[in-house]
Amino acid sequence: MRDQLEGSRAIARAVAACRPEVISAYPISPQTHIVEALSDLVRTGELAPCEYLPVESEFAAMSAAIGASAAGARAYTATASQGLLYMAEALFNASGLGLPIVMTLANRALGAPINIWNDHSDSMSLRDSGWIQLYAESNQAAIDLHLQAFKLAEELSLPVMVCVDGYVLTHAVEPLELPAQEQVDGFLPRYEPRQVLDPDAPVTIGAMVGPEAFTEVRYLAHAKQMHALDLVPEIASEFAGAFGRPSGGLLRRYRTAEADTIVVALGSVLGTIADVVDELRDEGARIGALGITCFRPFPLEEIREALRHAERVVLVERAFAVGMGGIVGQNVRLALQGQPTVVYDVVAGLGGRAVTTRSLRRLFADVLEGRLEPNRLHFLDMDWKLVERELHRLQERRRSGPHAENILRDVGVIAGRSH
Amino acid sequence: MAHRPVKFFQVGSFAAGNRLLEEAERSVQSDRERANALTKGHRACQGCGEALGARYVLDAALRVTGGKLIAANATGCLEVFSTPYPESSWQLPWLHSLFGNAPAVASGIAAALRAKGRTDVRVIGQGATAARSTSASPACRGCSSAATTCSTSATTTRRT
Repeated sequence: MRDQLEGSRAIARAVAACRPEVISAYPISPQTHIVEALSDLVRTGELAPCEYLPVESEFAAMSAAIGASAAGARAYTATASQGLLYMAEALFNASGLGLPIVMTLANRALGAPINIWNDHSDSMSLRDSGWIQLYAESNQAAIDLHLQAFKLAEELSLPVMVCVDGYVLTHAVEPLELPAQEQVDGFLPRYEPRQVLDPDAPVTIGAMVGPEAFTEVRYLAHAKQMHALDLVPEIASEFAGAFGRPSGGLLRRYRTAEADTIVVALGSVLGTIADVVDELRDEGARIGALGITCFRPFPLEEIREALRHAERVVLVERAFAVGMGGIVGQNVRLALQGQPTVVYDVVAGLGGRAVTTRSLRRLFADVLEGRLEPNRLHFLDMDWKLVERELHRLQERRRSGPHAENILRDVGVIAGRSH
Repeated sequence: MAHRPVKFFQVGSFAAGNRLLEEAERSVQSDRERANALTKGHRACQGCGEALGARYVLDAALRVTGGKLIAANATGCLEVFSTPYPESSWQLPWLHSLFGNAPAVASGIAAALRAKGRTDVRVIGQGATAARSTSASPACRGCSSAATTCSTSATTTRRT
């Protein structure tokens, strides 16, 4: 069914169609509309049987999901940014116990400085929490990935995080294809848990494991993630068969055939990148894009294959590791080991800064014409004047004050002068 | 509990108990009717109040629920001494998640049971477990006193 609606509401409807039995959540921008819509569906009885727990924190949200999942219910939650960090301890617990919880992450920056807008700092900070991480390129992808996430989670008995760019996707209103309930029921079978708290067959879940078996138990978590590298494409092709549109999978190639330059990115920025690739292709440049849909587990072999013929790889990242550089870049470099590929790391769109076609055109032109230095960290649309003023201030006096306030004042001064 | 003159009988093996005694001489521990929710062989210190408290509470809870009971345990002594892999003393379905979240975990279990229409099964949790969960209980993380009438109190639990 085609409908014009907000990304968050569409995600809520897709999740509801998966018939979760327990939803526990704490609201946080930009995730709020998703859980509001779901609580409404539970209140009106449209989503039943389902228990909605309005808990007191994200830590409790994930904890309740752990309990619900261990008791054999299909469990769901959603969060963003600080909320994800607040549930960090429980994230590792859910994955370590092997509980197939599905969570939507409305990607948002991490403070300080406090910022509610979109980037990937939150999901990237917990990329190694043992959760499978899928990144949605569009709202349609977000809908489709949620249906696949439940299936994937339950087949593997591992939790899955579906990362959806906050505001850019969650708050965008657009025509979307919503799955019919019968279609979803046909695609997603009833949840049959591998382990369940049942008084008729009591088990101990979460026992203390010492040095004699800890490595083995941890390895099993890794083995399950590696198995996901096979399952993700299988489920994607099953999805295409059931719903008649391609969606999901490990990677998405966009005009990479005979491309000597390939741009690698995750999430909604891929749409803008595709537009620029089209423009440059029209002008004769051999450029393409590679979207990483499944970032954990990391599809090393598949990325190596996809980038095999590229001379240049440009990473456009929505987060970075302070003191190190690009995060996706570190991973992609492993896939390029032994290849002569030249790699460019570009951080873009932090804290909601728009990544425009104009800026990307300039960036790709710099790469194609050899003006960008490879293997160095670059920042798209960085205002170096502001940075240099603050660095100078640091050298000038001891009590230089808080960065954020100084820079905000400078932004005012500079903006004032330009008028 | 009536007074019993003989409380303990060494049977010459690793097992200790008094089930070899005459019925009249046995202590409450070897009562045939005892549920024994937390069975022998765990690694609590001799005379551990927490083990005893947990067992009394669980036995009573199992009796009133007709055995339809699920336990949510916090990290702490009770969890450590009762489940060193690959052994478990728990005779009922049991889940341990983290230090500070047993109430929320228990709420999740209860919600799952409600969603599934399992009104016959009850949930017992550690640390001031409430119907709709709050981890703001005054008990220390991992404290079992609120749900299991533990005599060792919060001072004996520590991060393990």
